[in-house]
Amino acid sequence: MSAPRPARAVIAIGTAVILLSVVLWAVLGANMGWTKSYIEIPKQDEVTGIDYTEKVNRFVPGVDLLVPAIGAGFVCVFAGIIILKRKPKTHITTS
Amino acid sequence: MKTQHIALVALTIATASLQAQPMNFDFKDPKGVNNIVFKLDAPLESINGTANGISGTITADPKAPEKISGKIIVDAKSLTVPNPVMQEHLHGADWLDTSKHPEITFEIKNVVNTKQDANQGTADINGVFTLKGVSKDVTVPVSVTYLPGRLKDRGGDKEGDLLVVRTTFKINRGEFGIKEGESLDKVSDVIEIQLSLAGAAPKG
Repeated sequence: MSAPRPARAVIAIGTAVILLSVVLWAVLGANMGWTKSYIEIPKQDEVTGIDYTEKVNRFVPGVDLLVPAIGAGFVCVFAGIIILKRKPKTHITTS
Repeated sequence: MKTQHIALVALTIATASLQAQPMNFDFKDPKGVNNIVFKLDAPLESINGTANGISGTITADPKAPEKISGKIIVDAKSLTVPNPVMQEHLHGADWLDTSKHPEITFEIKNVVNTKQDANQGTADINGVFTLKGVSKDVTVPVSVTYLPGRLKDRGGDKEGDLLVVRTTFKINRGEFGIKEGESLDKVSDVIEIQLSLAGAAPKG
């Protein structure tokens, strides 16, 4: 017997959310800290020798976004598995 | 001949006294290089922020480093952290309340333990640090570098001197009315503050 269609879709969505979150997080910097809206490029003033940073606007997701996204994905996957394991209702008819 | 000799001596004394005069160094840096870094320990990663809205004047005599006075002002709204949610909290009423307290200041009271080697020196500066409307006496160790005639090298059209000041010191946020005794599991009470500033004294 094939699995019910909604259950398979929920599992597929959950898996996609997990994979997409991990891939996006890795591609955008694999930041193990908090999400950042800019990054800092270290610079040094030639005359004074002062170290400073130049801000560049860039979205860098951190684990504060990754963990909830993976969590949401796992919730979908487990929900799908629970739906799958539910026994289909049988209608007993008496004649 | 004697008159010429007296005139030469007088000129030398006059020049020396002119050189020894204190100079006003303006710390509003048009290049935007002057910066303050602040750091708080936190469980996931330390919270590092910067500020570059710096102004103020220091009057200093490079030949007498103990004779230094002035005030450095930081625009509290120029403080930034990379995380947008933290940025909002930082400027909010619970933390710095920058709408009510737009300035963070350090006013020099006196200088002790001065050590000078040519155009570089170190000292301990006693001053009044004001944050979120609370003023406290603090002592900060500073290193100072005097760069005579280097102002024009930074791209401006004026001749003059530069004074580079660096310091790192720590404060307790609770002492300045910033969530005293609260959120210690999330953010440390100790804030490390690092200043790197260059002041300009144009001539003429």
